[in-house]
Amino acid sequence: MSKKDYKRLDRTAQRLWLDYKIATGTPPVYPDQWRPAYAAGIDSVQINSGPRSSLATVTFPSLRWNEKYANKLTFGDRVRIYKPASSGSDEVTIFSGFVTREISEFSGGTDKSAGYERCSLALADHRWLLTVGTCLYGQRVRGVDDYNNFGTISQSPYALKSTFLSGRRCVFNEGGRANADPLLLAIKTSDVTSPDGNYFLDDGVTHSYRLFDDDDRSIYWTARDMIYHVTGIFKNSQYNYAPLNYLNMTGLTDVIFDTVLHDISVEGLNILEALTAICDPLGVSFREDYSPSGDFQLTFYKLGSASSDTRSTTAPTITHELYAPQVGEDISDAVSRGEKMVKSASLDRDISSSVTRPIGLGGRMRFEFTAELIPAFLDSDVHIDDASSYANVFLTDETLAETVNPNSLEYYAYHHCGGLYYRCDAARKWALNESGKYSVSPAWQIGRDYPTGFIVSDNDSFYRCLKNHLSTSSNKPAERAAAAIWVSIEADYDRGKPFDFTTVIDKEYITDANGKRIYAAIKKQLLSSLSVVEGSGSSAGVSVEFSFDSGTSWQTIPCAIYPLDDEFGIRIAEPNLANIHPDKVTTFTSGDLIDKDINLFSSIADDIIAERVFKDGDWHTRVRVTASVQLDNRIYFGTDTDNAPGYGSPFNQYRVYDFSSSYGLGKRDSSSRFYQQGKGAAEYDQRSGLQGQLKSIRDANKGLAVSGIFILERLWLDDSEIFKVGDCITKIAGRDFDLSTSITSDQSQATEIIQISYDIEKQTQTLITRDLKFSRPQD
Amino acid sequence: MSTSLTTIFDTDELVVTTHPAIVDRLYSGFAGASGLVAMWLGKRGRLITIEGRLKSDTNSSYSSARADLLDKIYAAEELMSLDAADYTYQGETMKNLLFDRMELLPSYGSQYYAQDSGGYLSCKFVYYCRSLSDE
Repeated sequence: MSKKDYKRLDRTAQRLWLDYKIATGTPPVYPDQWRPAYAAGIDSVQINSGPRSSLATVTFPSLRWNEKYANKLTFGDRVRIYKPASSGSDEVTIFSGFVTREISEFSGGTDKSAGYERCSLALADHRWLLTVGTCLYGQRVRGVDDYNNFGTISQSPYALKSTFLSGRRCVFNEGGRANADPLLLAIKTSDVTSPDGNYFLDDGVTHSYRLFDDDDRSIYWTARDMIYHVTGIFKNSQYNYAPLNYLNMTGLTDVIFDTVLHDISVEGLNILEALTAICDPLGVSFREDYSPSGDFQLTFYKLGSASSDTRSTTAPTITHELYAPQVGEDISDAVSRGEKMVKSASLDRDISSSVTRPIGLGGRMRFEFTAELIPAFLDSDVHIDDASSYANVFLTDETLAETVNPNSLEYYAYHHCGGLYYRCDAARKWALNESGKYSVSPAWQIGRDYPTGFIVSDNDSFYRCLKNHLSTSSNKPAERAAAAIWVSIEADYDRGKPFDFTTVIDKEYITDANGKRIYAAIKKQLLSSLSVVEGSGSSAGVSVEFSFDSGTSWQTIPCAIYPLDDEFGIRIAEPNLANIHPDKVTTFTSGDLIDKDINLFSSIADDIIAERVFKDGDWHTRVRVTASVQLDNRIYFGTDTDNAPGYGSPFNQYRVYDFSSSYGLGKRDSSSRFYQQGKGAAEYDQRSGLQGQLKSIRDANKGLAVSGIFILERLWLDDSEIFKVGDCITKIAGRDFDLSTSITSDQSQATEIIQISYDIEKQTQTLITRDLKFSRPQD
Repeated sequence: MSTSLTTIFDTDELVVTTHPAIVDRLYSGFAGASGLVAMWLGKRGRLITIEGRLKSDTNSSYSSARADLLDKIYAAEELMSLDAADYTYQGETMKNLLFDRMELLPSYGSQYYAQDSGGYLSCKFVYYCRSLSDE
């Protein structure tokens, strides 16, 4: 029995065959049977990975430049290139696609060069058609008429029914919120009709998709759900020519496609761009494959992760060892062993762009709690009319309505919204004091450089002066006498210590391993609560409560309030503060305001008149708020016990990946009044998702970059030996040159083939490998 | 359907030689190693040479004999523009034969055209052909 060809020193060229189908009509229709094109010469075939379509060039050497093969082979016709079945080997289709270019060349020649005529066709595979022939936008949902008894307890979706909404952007898990309908839609191509009849050819396949839905009743899209959705018959307008369904997309059973990715926008993309947007974060790519009968398939695989030496549906990529003989070695033995001989190669190994320590930044952590606010105004800002035994310390709306000139009354002039000297903060501005702005200043502010001046102290007094007047040897102004540039600070806030978030937020989130608080006294913003209104799913908003008895009882009083936009606090916009009073009319039982009605202003006035000190807890007037806040730290993932420095690089090499709109953490503290009321909350903790995505990134980027071009001296087309994009080259045996990278103790990564070029005339095969940092393949 | 070469050249005085097949083979070496891998790319047809003599049909004068001989040369060179076809000679069939190049050979010394005693003018030629088939 003779040796297999690849085990002989004398090889035989392998011929590739070309079949075609002529299109008729627009859009085209193709016959069932392929026809052989015997006179075709296949110049080259370039197989690409990911969204790049594979290309081929064929020439008809017997044709003049202005002729067509069979008088008709032209644009849009289908062509496939294959190795015919031979003894011990099945037919192998290596390319199938469409005629996209006609190349006509001729020259009459000169005395130094021969003339020629050339009639060639350039071909592109199905990915070309999916690129130019599909566009994703809008959302497909179940509309109100896609349900039976919509809005009732017996509501149920109709089979096959859905509605397309062009005005909603196609963004999966937008903003980190689930927006997938839990109920799948099952539909066949024959069920999709247009006014002219069936839109697609009936392939008998039942397609199951997720649809979009309102985030209140949704589940998260997994990557697999997204892939089925973007390739589904509602999105794939080229389904008749490049069908994608669960039967011909392999590799999607891998658990990595269970990953929930957040904020994946495919609006305006074509199907291949969308697949890339989904696959990239997972460290996954895809390639075009063909069934034994030459039908189009899409195969998904993890980048650089081939580990098996046998291809199967669960191992779509395999490893290869190439062979470069040792110095002085006679190649006979290597060839007779069937080694995959490398004729020439170019290797570029590089650690400069390795990422051994990816850092994932999610959104800022958000917490809901209930906390008391402090008066963000000075006692002296509150103008108290003490005339006539405080007769007009406050005025009701009824009194004001009867007053001809209300601005003559001090309460109205200073504390009513319509007043001539209206003080918008006094008695109205309440804040958390998270920055310490209202604490023991000005001592708190010593040494601070404000736009209004530099704060200095001298003999327990505080002064503000322009910075350029300070002495270089001290912080005191050079000219003390110049009072204009050294202004004494007479009064300032003294509302107690800055707010301590550890009193309302679990220390797990805001302290480090040593118990040190990891937030700063920097102003934050008041945000809506995470609690939701029962039955609607929308935020319960912000709750403000008042107390007039030192916090013994609290009341929610309807009034106009809005949040401060530059710090955590509120401003009461109610025109008349006297309207903010307890449900039941109550009066002061002691003090200068005895027998007067208690309301927000009179209560504050009473506290000030009685010289109560807020920071000592003496004030009877209290305001508390239930809301949420984003603290100073994001959810973060940057440490991994498996994450040792990468192969080839002795350094930790960092890169930050910003997923702030994709992953976050929102928690409600038990202090929240809404929690105590038993309201539901839209809490979320997406740290594990961020961690999973970062691990994928790390795995794909960790090793040193290996860019390689390997030229093999024969075509490897036998089914068991064929190279496919996504396969990995683990080493170059003979010279014992390792091309794999250890990621963890039990996981390695090898350099991955991203492009294969067949030179049919020279019978050589070129493998282009990806550097592990996703470098672009050669054009 | 094949055509007889004697019919084409109007003479039996032909010497048709079938040469061995032309072989295309690619050799690859490997850096630092000894030995070669040979890639058999296939046969590229075979060379066939046809030698003979063209002779004028007239002998009334040298000029008319020369004109007639030139007509025969022109007719023979037209073979170069034909598609590949099968030809026979002495019972041998040459498949898919293309006429590539025609040369005249000296008959006497440096003389290409020779006039015999009957007044007929003739010339020797060689035709280089390639059979596209391996057969």
